Amino acid sequence: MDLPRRYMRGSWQNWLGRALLFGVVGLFMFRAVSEWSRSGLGLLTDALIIAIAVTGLNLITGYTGQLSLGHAGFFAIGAYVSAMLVTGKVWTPFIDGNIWTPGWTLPAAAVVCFLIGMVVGVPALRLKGIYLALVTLVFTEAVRAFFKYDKFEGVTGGATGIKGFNYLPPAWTGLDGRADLVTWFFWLSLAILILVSILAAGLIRSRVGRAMVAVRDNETAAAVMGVNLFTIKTVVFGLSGAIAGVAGSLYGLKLTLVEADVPIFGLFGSVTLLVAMVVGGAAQNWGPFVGAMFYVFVNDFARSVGEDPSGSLLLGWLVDDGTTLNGLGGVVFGVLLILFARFVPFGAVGTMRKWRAKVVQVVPRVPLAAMAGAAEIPADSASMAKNTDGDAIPGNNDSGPSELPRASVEGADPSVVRDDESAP
Amino acid sequence: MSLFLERMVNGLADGSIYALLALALVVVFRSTGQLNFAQGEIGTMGAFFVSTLTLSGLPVWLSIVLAMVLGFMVAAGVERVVVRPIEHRNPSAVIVALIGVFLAVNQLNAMIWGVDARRLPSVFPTGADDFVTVLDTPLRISRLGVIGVLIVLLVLLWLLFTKTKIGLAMRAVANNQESSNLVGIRVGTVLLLGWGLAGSIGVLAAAMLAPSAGLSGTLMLSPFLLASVAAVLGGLDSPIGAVVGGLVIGVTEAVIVGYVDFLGADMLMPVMLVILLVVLLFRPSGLFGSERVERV
Amino acid sequence: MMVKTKKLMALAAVGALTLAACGSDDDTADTGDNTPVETDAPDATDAPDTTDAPDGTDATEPTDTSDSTAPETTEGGATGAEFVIDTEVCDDPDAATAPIEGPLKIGTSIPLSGGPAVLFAPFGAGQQTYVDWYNETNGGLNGEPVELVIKDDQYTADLTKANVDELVFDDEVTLLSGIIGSPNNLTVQPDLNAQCIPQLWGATGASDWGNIEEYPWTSGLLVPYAIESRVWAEFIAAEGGTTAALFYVNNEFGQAYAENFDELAAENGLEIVAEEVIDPADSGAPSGQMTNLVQANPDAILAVPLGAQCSAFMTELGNAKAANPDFNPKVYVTATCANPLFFGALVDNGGSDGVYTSSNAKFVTSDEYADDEDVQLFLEAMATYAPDTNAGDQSALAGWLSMELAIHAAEQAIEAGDYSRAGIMNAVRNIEYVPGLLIEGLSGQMNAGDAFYPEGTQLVLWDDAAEVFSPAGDVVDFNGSLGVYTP
Repeated sequence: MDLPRRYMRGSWQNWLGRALLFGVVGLFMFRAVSEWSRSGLGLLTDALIIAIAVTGLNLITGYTGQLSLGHAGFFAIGAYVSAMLVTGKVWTPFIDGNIWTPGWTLPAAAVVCFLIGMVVGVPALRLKGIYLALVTLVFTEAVRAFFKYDKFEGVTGGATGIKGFNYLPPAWTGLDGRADLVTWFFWLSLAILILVSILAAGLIRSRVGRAMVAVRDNETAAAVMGVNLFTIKTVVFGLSGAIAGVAGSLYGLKLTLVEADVPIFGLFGSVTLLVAMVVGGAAQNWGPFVGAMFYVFVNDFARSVGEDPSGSLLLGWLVDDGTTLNGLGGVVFGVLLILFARFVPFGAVGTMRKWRAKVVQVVPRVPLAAMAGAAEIPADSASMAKNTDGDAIPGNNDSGPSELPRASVEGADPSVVRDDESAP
Repeated sequence: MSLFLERMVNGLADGSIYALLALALVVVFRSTGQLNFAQGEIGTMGAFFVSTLTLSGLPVWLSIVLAMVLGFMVAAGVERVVVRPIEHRNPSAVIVALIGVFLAVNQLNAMIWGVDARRLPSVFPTGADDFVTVLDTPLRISRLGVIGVLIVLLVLLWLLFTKTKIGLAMRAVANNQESSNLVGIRVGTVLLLGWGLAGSIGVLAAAMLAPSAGLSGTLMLSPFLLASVAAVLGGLDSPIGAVVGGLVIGVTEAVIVGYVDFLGADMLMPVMLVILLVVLLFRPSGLFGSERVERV
Repeated sequence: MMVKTKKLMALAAVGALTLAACGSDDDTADTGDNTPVETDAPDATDAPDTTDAPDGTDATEPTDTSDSTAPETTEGGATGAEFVIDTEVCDDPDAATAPIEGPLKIGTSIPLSGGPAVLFAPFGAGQQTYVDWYNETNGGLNGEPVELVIKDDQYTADLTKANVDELVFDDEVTLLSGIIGSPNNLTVQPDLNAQCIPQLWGATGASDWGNIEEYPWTSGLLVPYAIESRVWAEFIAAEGGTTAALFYVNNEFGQAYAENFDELAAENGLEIVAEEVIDPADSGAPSGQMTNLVQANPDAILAVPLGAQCSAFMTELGNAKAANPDFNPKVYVTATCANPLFFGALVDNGGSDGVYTSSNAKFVTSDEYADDEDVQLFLEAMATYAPDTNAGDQSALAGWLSMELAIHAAEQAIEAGDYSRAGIMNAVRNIEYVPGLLIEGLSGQMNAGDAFYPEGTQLVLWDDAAEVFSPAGDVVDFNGSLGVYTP
């Protein structure tokens, strides 16, 4: 048998592969709900919420190549929008007493973040790489400062933030109020993750998606070929921000309080999302999910090593019983990140794809040769050509050191064809 | 007037710290095109080392020099061990690795030096009476000293980059790695030196800041954020831009605290966002950064 | 004796105050239909001479000005109805009242790693040391060693939530004690109260911990910020000050002080002439803010810095005083800075000399307590069980207290024959116990009408030459004055 084996997209083997993948993940989720303790489920829910935000970030940074450290800002805005609406801090028409039901604040957060995201997308027209990253980072910190600003205290709660709200499961779920809160948030987060992943995957496959990838791979070329940079950048920034905002909204409702000093609303949050995205694999459908799981569970592991080094496999032989080492958890996590970047440089999903491609490949129904000659869809040809590397990484080969994310140097095996499995 | 002068000098002194750290970021950016997330933490590590050395009886200035050597080695080590092998494979993974270095160094500091805040002696006199009166304004010697250190460092860097072979090689590599390689410059060594130099400058920045702020593991977290803003404002590949950017932030902070009543020190970031957007609107590569030509 | 008279006056005033407090909280005091339990008069009556004001400092009665709030009832000083916890509203009422089998298992979630968090790590060492010491000395509780599970939350609230779930559902702890941070405690408060798991001695001083109507299973460890602000405001007023300025860190912690102080300043006839803020993450010297304070030149300053900012603020203060001879305000920095390290070693220009702070705990490294049994015991235990930790750091002591008070409550519950979560919580809510590490003269009580445990403290000032804090006023105890918090 020749390796790799090639299968046509849409063939029964391709569908079987997908079914297997979804089956395994689905089984894992159901097992988690039934078998895991509440704490494990809570942690898993955190991972799902981060995965939602990373899905948003992946759209603008992974697929469109615009490095953003502003997503913690959207995350914070989403959380605050929910908190302000459910506690009736802002006047809203048609709403009795201005008190919203928590569920409806999620789309509200999305709308607000979409609009703000469009505005944040405007500087992206002129700024590249680290310049854009830093401007968006300052945006995050500015958002945080605004929420703390004492002149707006009546609306945002100032430095004290907003507390005293909750999102109990609605009656139709059959869940038992407070006691099933964790289960409720788990299912809610999972449902939203599935929803935004399908939306994201649909977007990527659409004309817009191909234009996004074209912008990432060579902005000037994309513009020359008719991609409207202004529309693409602002709309995708808006969508990306909206998704991160919904994640933030869930986060705030789960936490039952918002406060501007919560680390994930600032630099730390933006860095977290970026790390999760790259670790999972930039511009990969499954990347956000895998990256978020990695981030949350490996960090949990690292902390548990720090809490009790003598009880851990890693250091148990080294330290005495009962020792606690200040900061050890952080060192372990830092080192794990370095090792991961060193040995899994294209992220977990990217690397798994590469391994799998040595065994099984999925090829598009249209032969590659015909595709390359298809001159009638100019905006797409650049992206398709680039798409063949299977490790799509944001960035631009030609822009030199002013751009942080650059296209992959290695692994551009033209025979490896990216398959766009729909996301979880 | 005298009040204004006092505020400006304080602002410039704060700004000098950001400028120093921004210089370090620029030196790294010029050599490998990375934003070194761990720059501040390496500086903090150096400051803790200064503290250990001074406690063992060494004079402060000598301790700082030795700590700068340590900073050089740590930063160069990061370049060689962490950045270079990953850079070859996938540059965007370097961000993750550098965030990893940031975390690891930050927490390593706590493991080595504990969690209590420390006092770091200054090279300048820091007694309550150590100020000079200029135009009726009491100006602290230690603050003027920090500004002086920045000027001296700038002169030294200028000499390094224009008068020495190694400095010229660093500029060549910053400009074009491949061509530099072709003319026989050992690019690897030069990159190593660039990172090391940045590490030393970072330690210097931390050693200048710690005496007035108290030395703790969180020393460089917020200066790092402001320094990276400064570097972007001035242009990521421009040392002079880094200095201007740093000083602008320091003075802005002083003006907000001093003269803008409805904003406080905590509203610096929104103000910086506005300044940054206005500057970058006209100069997308920062005030002094070099524009790059886009090719299809 | 001058001092004696003053002390008596202070006592009388404190008594009046507590009356006022009980009175004003009458509506909340009679939760349940319990008969009031007679309690002893406040311990302050037996206060030893250590609380005397030193010569030179004009000891004042911070309660003078409170006379305006006339007591409404005439019941005895610190009495209040016994609190009985309602387990019917629990998710699982039976679990709350079931006798505790096996060892007492305590959980806590504190920062052990992650940036700024690491500053609090000695707290955990203090907790562990108390438990180790207790087990070795007493052979455990109920014959079984007390277990302590410490989780690292990196000071982030979502991790606290994950940790607490883990502690409750996986480790199956009996109770939680000494979680650090306001948001961290707030985020787990609704869950723990619904599950009826005691959330004891949270290391924060926000008023939320007194909300026993909604959250009876939560109690706070630190002196409420409102008490501290009050002590200082009344002190300034008594000293004849008319203007005051605020310098505070712009977060929930600083905000709580600022709001309380604004209110109390008005009550005490103080005009606030400047308010300066600093970002919690700011590690620079607050020189611009200090320039503004010099311009405003108030009679007194309340400073609320965080961690190393305490020292940076006082260093700037020293500089400003030297350069501006007219600038000589009385300065108070909050009790969270009351650490010899922040005042002594970290301030090298004499800026901390004469700066006030307060503490309700003994300064363990102070010569004053060189012969104090409890302090020596603490230091020895720390040297034995946590030799790497700086025991002089008052945060190790706070950790120790969070465990001592929790285990004390469990002991009380056993004595009362109700060794269950509900029993422990009843013991906590009706506590009457002052650990040896707290200064003498505190009442240390809670009951149905008094939801705050530490409501007393002592103003101290730093003597830079001797490198010690010396008392700057009597021990003031506002026991019961905060009553019950209703948001």
